[in-house]
Amino acid sequence: MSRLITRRKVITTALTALGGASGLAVAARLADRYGLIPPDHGGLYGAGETLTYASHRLLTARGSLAREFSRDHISKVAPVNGPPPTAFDYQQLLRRGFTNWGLEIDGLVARPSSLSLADLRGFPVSRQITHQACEEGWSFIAEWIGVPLGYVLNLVGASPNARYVVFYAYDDDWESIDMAT
Amino acid sequence: MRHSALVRATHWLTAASFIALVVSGVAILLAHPRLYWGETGAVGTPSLIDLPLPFMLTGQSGWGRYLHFLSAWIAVLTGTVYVLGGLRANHFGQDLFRPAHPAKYNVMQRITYAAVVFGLFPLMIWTGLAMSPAVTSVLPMLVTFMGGQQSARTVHFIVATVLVLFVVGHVAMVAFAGFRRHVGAMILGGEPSASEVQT
Repeated sequence: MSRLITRRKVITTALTALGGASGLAVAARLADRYGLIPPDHGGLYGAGETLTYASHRLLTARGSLAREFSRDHISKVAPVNGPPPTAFDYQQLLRRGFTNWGLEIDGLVARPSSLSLADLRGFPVSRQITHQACEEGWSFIAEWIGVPLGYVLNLVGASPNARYVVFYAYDDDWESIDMAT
Repeated sequence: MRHSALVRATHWLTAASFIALVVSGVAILLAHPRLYWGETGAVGTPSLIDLPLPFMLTGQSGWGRYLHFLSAWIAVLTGTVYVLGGLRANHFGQDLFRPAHPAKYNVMQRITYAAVVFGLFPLMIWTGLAMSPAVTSVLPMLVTFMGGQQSARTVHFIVATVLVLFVVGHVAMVAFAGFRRHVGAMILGGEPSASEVQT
């Protein structure tokens, strides 16, 4: 193989680099339009997060759902991770059997609401037997019964511009999931 | 025969991402150093392997997973370029499967390299994807074929251990055969030596 730098080689390399750069720019534009860029696309780990997020979105674009299991697969042990919250508010809720609890929903919704446990129990119920894996590594299978989140989001009039549902826990922790577009 | 530029570049990208994968993999593992077989497993259920490691619940798995996924992407993309480039240049045919005489690598080396490239690395990708609920919602057989999500996690760990042992053996053999010369050949592409069997 020749090690000489020929004019042809320089031109080919320059054209390839130019093509690659404009291809990347077009790809970024398209990815953004189809909602493939996550909020954490910047920073040290941004490239990895973006590739994972975009592949998940493309792969599950047809609305595929988690695997479901039969009743005999339900785990005998349903692990509880860590102690319950120690906050005073939580202790009060516990004492009154959560009758004074409300699910506060606000943000990009037409009707910000507070739904009681009785409200939620009055809504249509769906059931699923699914596998839940903690990021730590352990997992279990359980049957989940209750109102689907989609029903509640329609009820409060979630904006078409809303992209994520964020849950806040009692210990100041939070978690988010994507909304179907 | 010298290493091609493609082999040299992908070798070091793979080496760097592999180190990052091992470090971040250990960080993730330490949150729950127990391995199970089947779909589920947790403290209070029977385990397959109890690693003699402490449970570390001090939040090492956050950066661990970020780094694991980033380096997994680099390893997978690098591996794809390496395999496609290798097929195009007939690198695998010439050096692994139908070598010329005298062969560049001995038969044990050829079996080992072929197993790492076409067996163990694909198995790591497969078992990694089998742990992703998003991926298995579309391709459930990735996880059902493995016997469940926890089985996939266990196979992922065992194959990772075998790969670490391969790297230890690989580096030891390079050291044995002349560390500076062989590492230099993998960086710069020079001739390590005409007659001698390389690692």
